[in-house]
Amino acid sequence: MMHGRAQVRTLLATILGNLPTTGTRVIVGRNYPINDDELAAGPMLAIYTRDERVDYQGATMGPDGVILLRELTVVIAGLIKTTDDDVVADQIALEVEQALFAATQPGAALRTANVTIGIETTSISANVDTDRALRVVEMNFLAGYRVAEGRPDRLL
Amino acid sequence: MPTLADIKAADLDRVWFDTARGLAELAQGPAGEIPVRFSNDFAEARVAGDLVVNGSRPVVAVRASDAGPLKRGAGLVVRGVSYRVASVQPGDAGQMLLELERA
Repeated sequence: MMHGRAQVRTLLATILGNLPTTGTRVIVGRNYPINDDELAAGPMLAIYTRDERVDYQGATMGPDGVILLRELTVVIAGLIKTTDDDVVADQIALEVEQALFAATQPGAALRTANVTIGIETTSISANVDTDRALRVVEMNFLAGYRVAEGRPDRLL
Repeated sequence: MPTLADIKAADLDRVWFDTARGLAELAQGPAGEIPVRFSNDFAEARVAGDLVVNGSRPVVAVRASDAGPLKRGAGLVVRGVSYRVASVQPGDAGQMLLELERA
């Protein structure tokens, strides 16, 4: 099994993999530069994870040992280069937040995987370093999941 | 006796914006064709902390005497590609720089 963080990213890529505005233009990770050509086709989503905190204060004992809550910062960034309008940025945010909320409902993917998620901050910025004005809506989500100590691959 | 500014201005016409010798090229502006010196070098944008977007940064130099209609937002076709003026940067010696964005 993959680390819990990788499982969260994979789940999010599936949930957000075909939204109305960003379609299938979704990349997971940040290893390689995005090219202008990709953005010319339409707005994109980039999903990656940053910091994670482990809540030792809230640790509990379970049959598999110490159960820890991990809180992972997930960045979901919408990149827009076909228009300089904030409306598109907000439309992407709307679709992402609604899709993630729906995924936490009973029977949906995140609930089934025992992953919680909620938005922490949103930042919309503009960049004019290249030949098309680039608008970015950066959403920071906090994803929570529980694992037994030493078994970060098994979400409880 | 001509001033240094006069000499520089004359050089712009005779040398730097000479399309016949290939030192400049013609672009289609709002008021007709004008000579421009065009560059479109690689540029990257860093966004959302860790993401990099590769692109280019198109810039033209124009004579200040041609720049009147080229306000921010004006259209300019260079090498068959339609651009908009994104930023007008006054220069010296009768020359101005225009940063462009894809229309």
